[in-house]
Amino acid sequence: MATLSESTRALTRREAVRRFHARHREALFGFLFISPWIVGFLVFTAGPMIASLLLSFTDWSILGTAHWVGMRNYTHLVHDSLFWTAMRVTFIFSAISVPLDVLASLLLALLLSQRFRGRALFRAFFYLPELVPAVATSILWIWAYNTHFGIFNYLLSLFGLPQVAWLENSSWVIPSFIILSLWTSGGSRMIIFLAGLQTVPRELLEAAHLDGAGVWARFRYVTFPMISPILLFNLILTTIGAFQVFTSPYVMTGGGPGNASLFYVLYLYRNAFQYSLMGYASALAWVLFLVLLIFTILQFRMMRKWVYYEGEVR
Amino acid sequence: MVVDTARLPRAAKPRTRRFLTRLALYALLVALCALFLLPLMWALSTALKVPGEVFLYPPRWIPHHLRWQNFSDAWSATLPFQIYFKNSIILTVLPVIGQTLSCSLVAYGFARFRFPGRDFLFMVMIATLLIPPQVTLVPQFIMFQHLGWIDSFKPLIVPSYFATSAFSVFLLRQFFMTIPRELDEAAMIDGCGYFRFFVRILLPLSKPALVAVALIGFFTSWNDFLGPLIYLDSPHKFPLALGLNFFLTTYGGGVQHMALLMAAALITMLLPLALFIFGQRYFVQGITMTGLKG
Repeated sequence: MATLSESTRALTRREAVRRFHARHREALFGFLFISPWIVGFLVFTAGPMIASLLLSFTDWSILGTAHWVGMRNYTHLVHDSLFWTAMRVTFIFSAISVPLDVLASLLLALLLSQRFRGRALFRAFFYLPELVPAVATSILWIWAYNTHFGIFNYLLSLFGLPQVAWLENSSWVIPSFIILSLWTSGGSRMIIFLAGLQTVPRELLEAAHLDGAGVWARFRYVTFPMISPILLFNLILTTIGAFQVFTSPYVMTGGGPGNASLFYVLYLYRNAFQYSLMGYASALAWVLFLVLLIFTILQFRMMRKWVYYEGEVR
Repeated sequence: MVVDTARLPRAAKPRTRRFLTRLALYALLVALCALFLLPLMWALSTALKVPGEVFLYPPRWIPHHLRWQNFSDAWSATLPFQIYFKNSIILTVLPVIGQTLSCSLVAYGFARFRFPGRDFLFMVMIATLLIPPQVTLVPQFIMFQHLGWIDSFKPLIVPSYFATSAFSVFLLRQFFMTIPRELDEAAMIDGCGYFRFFVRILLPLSKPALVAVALIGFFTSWNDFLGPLIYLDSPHKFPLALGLNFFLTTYGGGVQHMALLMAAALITMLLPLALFIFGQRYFVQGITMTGLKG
């Protein structure tokens, strides 16, 4: 009896030791596997973030030594008229292009989710602009927007409309970029909407139809709530993208004419890599980060009002 | 008889109505498509013109003589686009390999192992998605400058080997979690180690997710402009994006070389287009995976 219990006790102890070792081994391997990310995070994200925050309180330019200047970069920013120009350009562009782009993608997705012959081909055609690299897109559009020989002004002339100096006119340059941003409406954003539309149960739509709901009512009360989480996802990603526009203004206008298309990240780039004002550029980067953070939080807050999650109890 | 004739138009009505809506749908689609493809068609038309024809007004859509030579000129004669193309390939393939390898290792760690602080670290990783890349841009540049890596490919390649794409890690982890754990246990009982299980069983089962991650990586690198712009100075090291911009700025808006410029711009979309045509299934799968599970 005693020997038996002793042997079981020894067994459980051995088992416990084995489990302890297994746990350790598992944890060790877990850390081993995620170690590339830990190193990458420290070296390429966390470290630079702290450095950038510290830099934003100095007057450092690539040459010379850095002096601590406290909040001076941030107070300078408030009085920097170009900062406000960049903010205005970016805000106006985002405020118009984000809703417009998301709406266009949604409408295209609704259109291309209908059943008809050649649907796959049309989807591919609308996706095509997304495949063109950003610099190539810019160059294509510089030529299309050309005041004298461009295709857009030629089309306008066919309809007897006045010519527009698209990229050369300070009041037309932002609308030009908004139109350009619409070009990729049929891209990934639309594909995501399409996938979302597929998850809307057909029975629900048919039931609504039988109850006499029209096209709009079916969209408003069935389709829209079902795809609202995807709408939020697309809205947030598009907003973040709009605030970080860089390549097209850099290549197409360089921020001009005047500073009419001085997008925020373009201004940041100028300060960092043309004027070598690393401290000031870091301050600009942190302001951008805060603005984006506030916008994302706001969008999530507002989400509670209109986003529907299946199975959620209110 | 009277009833029949009365019924006839009523029966025909839905059919003609359906036909008309179909017709309207196609008309709308074709019109929209034409509008969307306009800049591309316009570029293609210009790319095939002789210089004198480029500035004709009103424009001619189909050139009198299709000058395919513009493409070969842009490729190797007037412009060194073959060099840019080669650089773009290097600057895309190496990061894609790095990102796919490192992100799947890390995703495996997060998906299958229990260790202290795991969930916290995972949350930190997700939080990094909110940080705009501009915030880390300046210190990263300074760091690479101190390492003497400016004007080399290293700043554009090395980081990708450290799972810097949090999004890809997230996507892969979600995918790995859908693969039943019983498989791990069975493999371990048969004496299979963690690493062997990862390479021999988990990765082959995760092909769709791996392809999605590789595609994201391909487009990020192929389209990248700001990175090469900051880190590369010598023209012979330029990738396509930078080469195009270089050509545009060197030839003052490219007015004299518009046909060549358009040919060059179209060359940069060849590889993405080929990937799209041959991998369409993975494409849609990849995008929806990133969108719906993200």
